[in-house]
Amino acid sequence: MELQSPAATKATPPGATSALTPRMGVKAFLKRLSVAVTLTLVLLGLGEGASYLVLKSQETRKTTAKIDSPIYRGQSWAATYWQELESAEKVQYQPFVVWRRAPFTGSAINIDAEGVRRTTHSYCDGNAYTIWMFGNSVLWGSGDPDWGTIPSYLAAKYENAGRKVCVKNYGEKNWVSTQELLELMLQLKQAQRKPDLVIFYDGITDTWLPFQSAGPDVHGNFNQIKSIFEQAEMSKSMGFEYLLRSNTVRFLKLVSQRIQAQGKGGARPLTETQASAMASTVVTNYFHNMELVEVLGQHYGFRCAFFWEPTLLTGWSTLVSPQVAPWIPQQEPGSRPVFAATYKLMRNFHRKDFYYFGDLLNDSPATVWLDNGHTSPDANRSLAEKMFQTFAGAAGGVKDAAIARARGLSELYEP
Amino acid sequence: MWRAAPPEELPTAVYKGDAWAPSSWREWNAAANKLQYRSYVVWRKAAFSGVTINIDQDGLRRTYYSSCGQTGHTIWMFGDSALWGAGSPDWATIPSLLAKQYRDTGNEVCVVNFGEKAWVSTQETIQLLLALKAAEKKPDLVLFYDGVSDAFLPYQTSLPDAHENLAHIKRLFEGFSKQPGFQFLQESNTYALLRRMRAHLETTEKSRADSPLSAEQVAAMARITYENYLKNMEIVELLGRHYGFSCFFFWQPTLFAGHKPMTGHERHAQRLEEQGHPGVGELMRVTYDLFRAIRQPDFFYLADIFNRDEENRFLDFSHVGPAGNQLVERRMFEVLERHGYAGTSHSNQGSNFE
Repeated sequence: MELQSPAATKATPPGATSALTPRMGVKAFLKRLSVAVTLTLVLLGLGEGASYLVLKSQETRKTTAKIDSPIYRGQSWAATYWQELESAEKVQYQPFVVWRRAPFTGSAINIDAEGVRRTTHSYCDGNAYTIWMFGNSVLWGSGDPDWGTIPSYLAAKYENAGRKVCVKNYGEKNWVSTQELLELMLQLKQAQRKPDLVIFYDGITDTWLPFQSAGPDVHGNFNQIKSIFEQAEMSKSMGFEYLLRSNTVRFLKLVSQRIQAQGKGGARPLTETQASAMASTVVTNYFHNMELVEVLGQHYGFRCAFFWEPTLLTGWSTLVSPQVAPWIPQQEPGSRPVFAATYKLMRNFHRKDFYYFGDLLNDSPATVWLDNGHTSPDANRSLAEKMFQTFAGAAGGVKDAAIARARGLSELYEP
Repeated sequence: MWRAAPPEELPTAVYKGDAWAPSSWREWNAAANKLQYRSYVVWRKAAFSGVTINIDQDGLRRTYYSSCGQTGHTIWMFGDSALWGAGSPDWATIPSLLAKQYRDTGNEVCVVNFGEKAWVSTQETIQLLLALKAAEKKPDLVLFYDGVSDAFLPYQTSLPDAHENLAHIKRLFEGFSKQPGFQFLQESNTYALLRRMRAHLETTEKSRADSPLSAEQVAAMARITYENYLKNMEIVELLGRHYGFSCFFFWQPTLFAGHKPMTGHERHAQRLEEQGHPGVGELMRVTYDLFRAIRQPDFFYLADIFNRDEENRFLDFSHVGPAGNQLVERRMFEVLERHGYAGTSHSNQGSNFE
């Protein structure tokens, strides 16, 4: 191969210099510009791809940590469950209640077209005694397969006692009691078959709410959703705000948050007065919601019952150290005073349809907890059993009220 | 996009030289599109301070002649932009005119205008419920003024119980994900342009069709609105019994129902709406026919109110100007008077307010 000297390629015929140099200059500029643009795009693309991979691997690490928790040791369904949950976490917008999970079909998780999770041992085809259950992800069964949720265990208890009932799990992740009240109202408008019994199972998300958002009577992630809506309204779909949601920006935000958190020590300190005020807001709002559910119950002919769920974020949680239960995230210690104050108020609250379950798992081993609020299938079974005992006799599940009384539940028994 | 946006030009025929009209028009344009997100009811206008339009921090429009102290009777009013007072200054909205009527008859009342653009009755019911939870002083009387937004809803969405602009808001919400990924590209300008082109093509094809909705479809849609409204009434009545207020439901006028002798401007407004939403006129007519037949003691059909009125009343197919609001308010007051809610001295039955 004959090599041509660079000098030779650059040689210009005499007289042609003035005509060709500007054209060649433009050509060279365009060439360099294209290279620069291409390189920038490639770098941006690589940055975006790398950020995506880092963020994704973090999500995967979180899931792997959960699979490794002692709750799932020896459980054949666990790996499938967590694999399915990744897709089943997708939510859809729902008018008024804001979100619900999208339909999903799997072996451990099934969600119907209405966004309602499958309840096993439930018989909704005929005119069976009907129970609607409302709550957050704990009731939905985060960390549990379809057959290991509280609604499924409750339905099983009725079935084992010789009565087939229809149990519907309206639980949804991060829902608060106002969302549940509205869902109840909307469902009552649509349903041909009204429920006989409506159960609310709340506590953690309601208590967390004033810590997360200063607005009165809002839903979870209010600030975030407000910002999405208002930014879009302002820009009317034109502009470059969408770039703020790119993987690169998210990654940079995450890095910045971590640096800030290290500097501040992480937690937002709350005074006792602030915690008490927040607790009072939570409790007052919950009472208003209870009142409205009862009003609906009187009109549509159903009984209602309200259960206050246990959490590791109350006083007992100090006993669970990272050494004892390393799988439990030690997050937001700043919220603990609100939980302590709220749960104290609820523990002392007496109303005929309210049941405080906040201390029920106090003597259980740490392995009943998946995290600060979500409970294992075994814990769900015992919670469902306590609920069932509460309703002894109401649906013919237990034939004689004396059984309930014998179990020391006379204060909960209502003929 | 949002309905109930101000018409492109000031309909001078309706305002007849009112000096405040041009500035009110400018303020309406400025206020109408500044929306804030609200839990459960989704949107409300942002606070606004103007000469003819004022909206407080809670997103509530100012009501003139209203006296809201610790004592005295309280009336809460719910509705869409027609009740909010689109196209009218603060002092000429239906709630302000009703408060004035009470004051003129010697009764100071507190009237709160919960109206909001494009709201439907389910949103209003939820707003009522949330307001009842928060309010120390509960209302004595709750009035709903609905019609056009509820009747239009099934045209926009097949969901039985939704709010307007559902697709737009659903896209905003679902476009955002906490999970890493590339969904954000759906919000890019390129994507928005392509979506707009597709929507334009679809709309053009839809308007080319002779009959965009079959008679069966129209009947089914009207039925959905009708049944949903009755269920909302039931819930409002239930809340009324519990919290101790009376409630009345008024069905608002539109150019698509009733037999108003239309002016040239009104015929044009009707045509514009039909062009923008082919088949909507028939849907309104069939829906309104169902509501005309309702015989509940707390429901009042006001859609015939302009049947012999030859004046320019409508700004567009659903919003009336201040003079139209006055006629609607008078009819409302007559109903309230008949039921003993006119105060203390005018009713033969005494006052149900007491």
